[in-house]
Amino acid sequence: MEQEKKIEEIMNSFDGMRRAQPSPFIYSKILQRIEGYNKEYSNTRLVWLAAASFAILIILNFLVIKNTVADKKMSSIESQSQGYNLVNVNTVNYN
Amino acid sequence: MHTGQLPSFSEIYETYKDKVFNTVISYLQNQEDAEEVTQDVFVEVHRSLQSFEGKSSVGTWIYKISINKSLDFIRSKNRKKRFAFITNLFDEKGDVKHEQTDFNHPGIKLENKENAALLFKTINELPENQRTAFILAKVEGLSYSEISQVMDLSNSAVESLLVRAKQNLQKKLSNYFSNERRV
Repeated sequence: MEQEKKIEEIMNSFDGMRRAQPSPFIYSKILQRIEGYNKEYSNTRLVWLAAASFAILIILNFLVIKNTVADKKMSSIESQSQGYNLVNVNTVNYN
Repeated sequence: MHTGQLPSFSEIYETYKDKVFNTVISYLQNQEDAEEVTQDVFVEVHRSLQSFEGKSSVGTWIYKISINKSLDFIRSKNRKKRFAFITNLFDEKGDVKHEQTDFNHPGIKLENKENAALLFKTINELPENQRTAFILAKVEGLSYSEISQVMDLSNSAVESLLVRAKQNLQKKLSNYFSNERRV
């Protein structure tokens, strides 16, 4: 019986409870963290932008080199065909 | 999007800071941890403010964030504790060393301090959803309907959770006194 009364008292011990107050400095800490997050976010964006630009540069370089090699190959085939007196079929006049 | 009707971040902070802090401190039962998680909650609120769809009230939304952040913090702390279990749990004599200290909520009446500390300790042993329902009802003083919105449950489910929470607490307190009498 006494135990039940004690448990009841414990269960009701939150009655009349006042609100706990957070530290007055908490708002400035939150603002600092938000600012830090925004900076971090913009830094991350900047890094991704730089990485993407670099990747595009590499791809363009690769394409230019590939085209140059193909052109060189083509011109060497043409010079060889001229050497063997082969006629380019596109230039034959059948009239 | 309801951004046009939303209050500014500073207004939200002023309106909800006490609610957030009191909810969080009831879960974590430690002033420093509660202040850290309160910061986390408001950073998250600031980050998500533009995408807030207004499906629920701002208050309900902030309570949800507070509960999730508190539970995440507790889970992460428990993970760390489990990791350090072998080194920290026992001292050289083999006695249990690691035990949580009693939490004294700053808003509790002086004559209730001891009882409230024991109640907070027992609340920690409840399953998460019962703990949430009990804290929202007893500490925050929310109605069944408000709790049901925060927890995404029906009113009857909340009522049943609270009944089970109270039964569990009474049972655990009764066991506590029985064990104490034996010692």
